[in-house]
Amino acid sequence: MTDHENELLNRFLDGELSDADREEFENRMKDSSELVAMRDDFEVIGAMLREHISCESEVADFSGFTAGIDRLIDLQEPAPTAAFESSVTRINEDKTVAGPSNLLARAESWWRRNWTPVMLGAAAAAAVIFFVVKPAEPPTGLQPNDEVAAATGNNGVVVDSISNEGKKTVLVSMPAQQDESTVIWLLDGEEDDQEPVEGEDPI
Amino acid sequence: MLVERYQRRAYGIAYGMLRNREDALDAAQDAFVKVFRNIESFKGDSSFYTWFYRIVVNVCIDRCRKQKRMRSVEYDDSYKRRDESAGVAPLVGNTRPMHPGAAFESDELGKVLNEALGKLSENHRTILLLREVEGMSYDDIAESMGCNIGTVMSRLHHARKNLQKTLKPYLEASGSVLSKRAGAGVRKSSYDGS
Repeated sequence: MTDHENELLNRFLDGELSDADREEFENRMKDSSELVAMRDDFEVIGAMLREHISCESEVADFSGFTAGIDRLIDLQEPAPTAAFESSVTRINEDKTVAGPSNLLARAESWWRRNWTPVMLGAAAAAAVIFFVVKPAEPPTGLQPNDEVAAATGNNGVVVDSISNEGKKTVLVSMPAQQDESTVIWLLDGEEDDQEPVEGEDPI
Repeated sequence: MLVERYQRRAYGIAYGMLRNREDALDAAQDAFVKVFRNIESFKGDSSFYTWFYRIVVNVCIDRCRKQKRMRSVEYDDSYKRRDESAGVAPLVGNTRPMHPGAAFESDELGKVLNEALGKLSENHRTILLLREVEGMSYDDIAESMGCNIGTVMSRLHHARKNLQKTLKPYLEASGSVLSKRAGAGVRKSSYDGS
């Protein structure tokens, strides 16, 4: 028997042939005792199987079947606490508000499937922001050559340079006259740092 | 109710796969538990029963594999014990010779069929049961098994051929008895056998 004949025989037995193909195959069987014998064997085997399984299904005792399923579910799932039940109730209420599409469940399901790439992406984005978009120097509100009020009196002082030393901002005001002194302003950061910056004389 | 509607069908497939009543009942129950736990993943774009049978079949295949591993361990143990204690009777198979005709005159038909089913691969057995017992179409079997129709046809043919080969002595010796017993279940074809 050819593979094609085997295929036709199985499709014939299973009712998967078109009317034209079935008729053609029936004609072919008239000339082939081998095909007929195989068809008979296959039909008997199929009938035996159906009878065998059907008898077994009738004999089987399903009296405790549903209770057994409930027991299995209970075994695999811890008994819900009052807090858990209230959470479930709240979630269900939220779901009701969200509509029949069950958005919360969908979001949970989506998150369970995709949390790894999402977290990796977030970490990469944070790294990019940290290194590329570096935060500007702490704003002092002052630019070189700005005039600020002196600590004493109302004389204005011209700031010549601004630099950051650790958490301190250093404002330097060079003297306009030789007899005047250079003024260095140290503006502390958020934390109180009483120690002078290394290499710098405490004022 | 869902369980009542499908329990016998689930059991039937499970019994065909596992060939043991207790195992089949347990597997059918496990399958329902899985259905309840995963009902949300049922998309509804396929028939419920193809999805359901897929679960039943997967549960049964898992059990078959666990049983094989357990049997392997048990066999190793008994083999060691035999080696350790000289003079003990050698390990023998548990199948006794049986006259083909006698098998079908008694209630041994089930045992013979179970043994024959046991010789099939899991895939062949599954497809044969879904087709012959559940009467599923090739399309539904393909959907349920996650394969194409060509694979379904090929596996079905090989399953039938293998079963025919295994049952050949019984088919030849007890053809008339078999036909008589199975006659009620034989599907009518339009071909009258010339």
